[in-house]
Amino acid sequence: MDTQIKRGLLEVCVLAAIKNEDSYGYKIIKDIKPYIEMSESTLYPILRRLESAEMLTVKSVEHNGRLRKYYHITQNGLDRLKAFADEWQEIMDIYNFVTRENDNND
Amino acid sequence: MTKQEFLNALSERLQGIPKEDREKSLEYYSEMIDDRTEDGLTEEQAVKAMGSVGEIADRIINDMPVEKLLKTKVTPKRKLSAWEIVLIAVGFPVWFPIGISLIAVAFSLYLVLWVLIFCIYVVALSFAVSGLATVISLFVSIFGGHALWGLFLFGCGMVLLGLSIPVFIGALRVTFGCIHITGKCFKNVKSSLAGRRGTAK
Repeated sequence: MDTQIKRGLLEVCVLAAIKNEDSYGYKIIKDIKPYIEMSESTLYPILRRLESAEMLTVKSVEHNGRLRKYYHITQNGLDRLKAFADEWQEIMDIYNFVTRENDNND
Repeated sequence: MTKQEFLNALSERLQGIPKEDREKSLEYYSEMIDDRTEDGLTEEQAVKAMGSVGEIADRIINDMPVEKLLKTKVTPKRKLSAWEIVLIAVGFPVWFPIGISLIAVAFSLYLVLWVLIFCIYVVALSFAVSGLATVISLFVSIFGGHALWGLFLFGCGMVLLGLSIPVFIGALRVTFGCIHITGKCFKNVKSSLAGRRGTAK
């Protein structure tokens, strides 16, 4: 897959993983795994980028005597997901056009 | 490698970035290893799953804006002693102009590169313009009764026009090459600012 596209997809996947409930790093990786393989070192810069773009917020929660960071999606993040869905609807329409069966009536 | 060894190694590699960013990275990897061990892996396996320290550090450094790296590089890690401050102050008239001129020389060399590229475009353009002008002069010559002379000029004009095309394509190639090299240099500068170049493993 094209690296530029993949990068964008990874960002959206991370947002999607925290869309319904706050989540933490390891869980995000596990939730995304069936769709896209992502390593810890890939996730880290993405989280930082999304945080500075104010698409998510971070809070530390006590867990088993240590701190774990939970990521919470913001309105900006939800807007990004919406924009992604709209954009890809267009791409899917084009995909359907490109891969359609031969029309018999020509 | 134990978790602590991993974190120490990573911290060592990240000496060149601001303390706050370094701590954030370490917290992140510490949490990741803990979560994996909680999930049933041994500490050794969990650390191994993170990948190589060198690659992780390179990635973090490359993601860092240059200004941040520069600031960390310039800010001393320990308090300067009194005589060091005096030395820096007294030496100011020496090191400051040298530093400035080094930067100026580097910058002008880079500028010269782009001026040379610009020249290639100018050559291509002048070929095209003079070629066009010569072709047009064919008609002037014909009306003036010098048909043969006009034909000769027409030939010259076509040659000039033809020449302008490869020159222009060449100029485009060089431009893209230059942009590519600039990007690469930028990355190298970043790594060297952050200290040791991280080698894999």
